[in-house]
Amino acid sequence: MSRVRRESAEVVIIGAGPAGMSAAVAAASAGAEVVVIDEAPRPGGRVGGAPAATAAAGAAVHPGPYDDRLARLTRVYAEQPLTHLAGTTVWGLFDDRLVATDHPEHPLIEAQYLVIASGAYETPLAFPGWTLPGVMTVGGLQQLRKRQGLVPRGRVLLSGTGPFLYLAADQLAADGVEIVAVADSASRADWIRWGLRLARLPALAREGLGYLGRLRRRGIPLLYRRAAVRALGEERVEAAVIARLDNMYQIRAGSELELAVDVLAVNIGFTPATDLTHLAGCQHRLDRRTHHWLPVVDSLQRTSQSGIYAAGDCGGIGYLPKNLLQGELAGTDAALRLDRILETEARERIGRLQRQLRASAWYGQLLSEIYAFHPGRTAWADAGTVICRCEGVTREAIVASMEAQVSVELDAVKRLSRAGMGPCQGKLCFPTILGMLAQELDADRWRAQDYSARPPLKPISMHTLAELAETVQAQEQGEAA
Amino acid sequence: MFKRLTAVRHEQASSMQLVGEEVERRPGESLASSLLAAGWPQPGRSLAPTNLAQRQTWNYYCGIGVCGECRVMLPNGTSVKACQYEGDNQLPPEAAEP
Repeated sequence: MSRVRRESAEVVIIGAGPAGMSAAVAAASAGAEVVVIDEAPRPGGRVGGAPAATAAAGAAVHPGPYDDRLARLTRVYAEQPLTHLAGTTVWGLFDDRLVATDHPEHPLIEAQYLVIASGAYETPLAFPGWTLPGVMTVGGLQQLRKRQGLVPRGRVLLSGTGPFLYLAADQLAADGVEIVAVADSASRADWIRWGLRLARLPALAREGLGYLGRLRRRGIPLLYRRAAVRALGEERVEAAVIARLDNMYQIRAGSELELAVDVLAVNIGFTPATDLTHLAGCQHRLDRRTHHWLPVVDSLQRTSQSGIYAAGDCGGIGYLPKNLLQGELAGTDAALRLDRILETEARERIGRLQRQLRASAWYGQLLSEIYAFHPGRTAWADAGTVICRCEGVTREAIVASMEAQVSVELDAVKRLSRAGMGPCQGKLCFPTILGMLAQELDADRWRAQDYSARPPLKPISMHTLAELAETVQAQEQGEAA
Repeated sequence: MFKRLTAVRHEQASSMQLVGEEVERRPGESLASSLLAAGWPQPGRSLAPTNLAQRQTWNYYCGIGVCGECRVMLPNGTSVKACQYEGDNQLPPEAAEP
């Protein structure tokens, strides 16, 4: 690798969501040379489609409190003199911040400064039947509705907890989708407690009350302390079992009730996508409340690896304003280190961003309570439930691999059971396995759990690898001649 | 399982051949959406040459390119995540496998 003649850039940003775009604008507007790499066909991140696109898709547009800021950022981003690589996957990070992509013209880019803004994905929840077609994430449903104007036909059950569940229910109902119920694992008392704290953000509080009011007016049953704990069906989901939960989120015996459904969508929160920060060798900590790995960053969003920043949801679940601040902070600090911005100006801006970030920290706290890990949920899966969807590893097989170890470790579970070795590289099974480990280990040993990310991080074609090998070979021959 | 909120206008619709099936497309739509609108997932039917456990059936789960269950083999031999792919047919020739 070291002999490859590398393309280089002053700032490479992975991810063009709110944090990535914000970092890109801060660095590029200061004159730094910026390359942004993004998997999606167009910038904007996983947050959702632009209202115009949603309208074009024929779906109802629901103005959100942060639409304007996101639209403005997207506009400013498009005006920057930067290189945007759309539909491009980063599959490896090597020494000296060398970024390997599947882009045919930009296979290797060396970054002087690297901003990882890889965002988050919906926390998987394993229960019997969750691999049946028709069972999906709430975000998956929203993507189809907002970007493509595609809605489920038939009866839809939403299960999980948190604001996103109600937002989706409200918007799907407005597009004429039949929502049979919203099953929320939180209690009414939980929501009153959380809702009172939202009084600090009236715009969001109003938003939430709006969802509830409209859902009630439509007569959609809102079931508290209940959840879809099993999906039934032969070739696709045909019914869901809804159960009452106790305070530990364990199923109350005898409370099960079967409900015919065509789609079951689940959201119990979001998990930071730390595969890239892990691959980069950044130091992480396991958060006890959420069970999330979080890259350790300083007040400038710098990780423990020199020249590498983490910004946005990949560093901890927050809301749009927090992700914008973190991105701008990283981009500004990188521009300062590149001497592209006056020190006095940079210091002033950094100070302001840090103050705003501190002032917004409470909302991340609130989200971490709403989306807290609940050990009772890990017992919903039975012995035969597939935990690792890619490799088809069952709960039973994972338990066996844990019992086979002298010292229980996630990496060993992975090696012994093959869980986490498939195309998603553990994104959909590690959260569940971490929950299982938490039941077995004392706090200290659990906290020490980490995993070794290795390239390729995502499935890449042999063609990409072959082309890379050709480049290396051609350059070596060139150097030898 | 899914339906489009607006009808496809004929002049805008196109189609794509996937493992012998004609799939209707419309501009700017992800391939996953086209497949869902066309009645996929279909029991036991895959659209990619993978043989991993649990993945014989083409499925839509996360919608954001994480799970990889919507992977599809394009006519030119490249494999893509359908939820992240908006192309209407082939990838550029230079990216296609020989």
